[in-house]
Amino acid sequence: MLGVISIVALVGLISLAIPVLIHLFNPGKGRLVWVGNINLVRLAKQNAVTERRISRWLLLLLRLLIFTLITLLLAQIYFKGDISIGNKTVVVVSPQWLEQVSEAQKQTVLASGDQVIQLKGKFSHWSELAQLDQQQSNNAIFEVYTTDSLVGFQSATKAQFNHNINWHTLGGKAEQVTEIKKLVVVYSEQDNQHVLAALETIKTHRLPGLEITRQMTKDSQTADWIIRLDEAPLSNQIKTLITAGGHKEPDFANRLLDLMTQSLLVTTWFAGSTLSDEQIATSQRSVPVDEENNTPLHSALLLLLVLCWIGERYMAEKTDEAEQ
Amino acid sequence: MQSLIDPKTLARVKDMPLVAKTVADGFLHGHQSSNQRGVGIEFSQYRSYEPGDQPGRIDWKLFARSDRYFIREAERQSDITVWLVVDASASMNQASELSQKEGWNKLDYARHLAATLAYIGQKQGDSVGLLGLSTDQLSFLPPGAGERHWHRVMAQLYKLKAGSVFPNTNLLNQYTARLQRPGLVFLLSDFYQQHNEINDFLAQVSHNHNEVSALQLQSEDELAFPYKGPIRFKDLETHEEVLVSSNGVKKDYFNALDEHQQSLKAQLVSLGVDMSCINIDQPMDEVLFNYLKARHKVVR
Repeated sequence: MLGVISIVALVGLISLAIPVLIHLFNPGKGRLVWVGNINLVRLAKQNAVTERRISRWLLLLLRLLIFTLITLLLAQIYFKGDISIGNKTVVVVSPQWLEQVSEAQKQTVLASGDQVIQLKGKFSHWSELAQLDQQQSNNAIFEVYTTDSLVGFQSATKAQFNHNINWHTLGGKAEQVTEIKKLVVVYSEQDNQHVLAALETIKTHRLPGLEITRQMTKDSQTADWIIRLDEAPLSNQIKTLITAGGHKEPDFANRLLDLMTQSLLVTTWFAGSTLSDEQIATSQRSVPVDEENNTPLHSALLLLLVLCWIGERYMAEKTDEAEQ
Repeated sequence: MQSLIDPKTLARVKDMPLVAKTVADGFLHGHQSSNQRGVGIEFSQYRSYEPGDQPGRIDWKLFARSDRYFIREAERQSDITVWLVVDASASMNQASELSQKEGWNKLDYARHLAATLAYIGQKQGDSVGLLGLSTDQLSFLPPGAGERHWHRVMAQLYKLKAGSVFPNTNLLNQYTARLQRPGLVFLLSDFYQQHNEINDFLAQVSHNHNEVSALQLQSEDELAFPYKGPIRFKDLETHEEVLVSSNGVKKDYFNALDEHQQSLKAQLVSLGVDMSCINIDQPMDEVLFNYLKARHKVVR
């Protein structure tokens, strides 16, 4: 597959009009001579003119090619090598989607891909996809089947991907749940500072109704959900995440929320909201030319340009000679 | 031939009668190397005077020598009607590039040639009629004799303009009937036709009592094809355009021209029409002399 770095340079393709206009309004089309009987000329013209016309068109073609090659050189065209080998379809399905579709539909979709991957988390489709995006080879085409529920996209933020991802969103089945307005997390002194910082971040950006407290108060009793970290210390998953240096990652807070709320069915917090296709859809990152597997075509284009120029000169001389 | 008069040079003075007179007088009196005194007014024989003959026709010099009355008789009688038919289709606007600069085309040549022939006819006492033919303009002048009629022929020729195509026979029925009387018909044309209309016209005019002579006018460029490089040829009548490389088509053009000429000649011969080719870029009096000389031999 071909790509270009400087798309603006493709405006140069307008220059293709130059040889076409020259061809159309070429003064070398011959001077006008009025004759009494055109039939005599017409009878004689057959072979010579056909040959001349062909060489004229060939000349025009070469000139068009020269302008096209110059434009492509300026646009810095390159060749994406892997894609030509054959594309691989990776079907990615979310747990929510699997719950909602019929068995037959499920089988059809799962059978359509070369590789089928089920998203593990219910809440962080974008971040999981970002990992898959890094892992898969360049020739992979992602077909992602998910629902439009906000639940699936509550953690992590949408980023640009290397691959073009085709989203197939299933809508209209947002869960009818009671909205949770207040969540209380009770923590202890021993709790990891990273976790507390992450909870603050979550409160600021994601859950304004989150209350973080060392001791249960009377107000805390009115919460819809209470997480007692003072009684039940950090789960092993959270500990593992921190040990592995996960707290240094920018999306640590989101992942923490993910882990904390899995057991608490925080799904309900967002379940009533949906996202539009535009909000879900991701964009593809533009690929620099020196990236692995991309072959610049400068040399080949330059060689072709020289050959075309030689051919054009030869044809032009030959045509002029024939017309003299 | 002592001198050749260039009709193109004469044509610059825009005086058709002068050209016709100059060419014809030169031909009639100045160019003959033989003992002939002209084509139509030459002496034939003397016969004895008979009662009823006009005294003016008696040769008094002979009477002085022989003391007998003799009547001088010319070879030809002036009872022939000469029809000058000029093709005025658009293709007659063609000219060689050299002539074009001098404003001289086939129709100009045809008009001057017709004027000259009319002058010769008038000098011989023949009746001269004129028919100019194109679908745009049908120019008709009934036959008549004398100098005043010759001037009418000049005036009619002046008005003749080239346009459109040679008319088909349906349009010419009323005129061709006039031409079918015994006489001599000169058709001045390039013989370029769309649907055989010139041949059809000649077929109607040509018959046993009528002698038809076809004068095909050609330009030097048509005969020599002197073009170089790419040329856009455009038809004067149909405006059809053909782009050719002149070098590439030259040989084939000559072949096509030969074929066309042979085919035309064969068609005219089958109609009993005598055809002569005239190069409009050659001096008119030379052409006319050669033509009439050749014709004189045929007639004799």
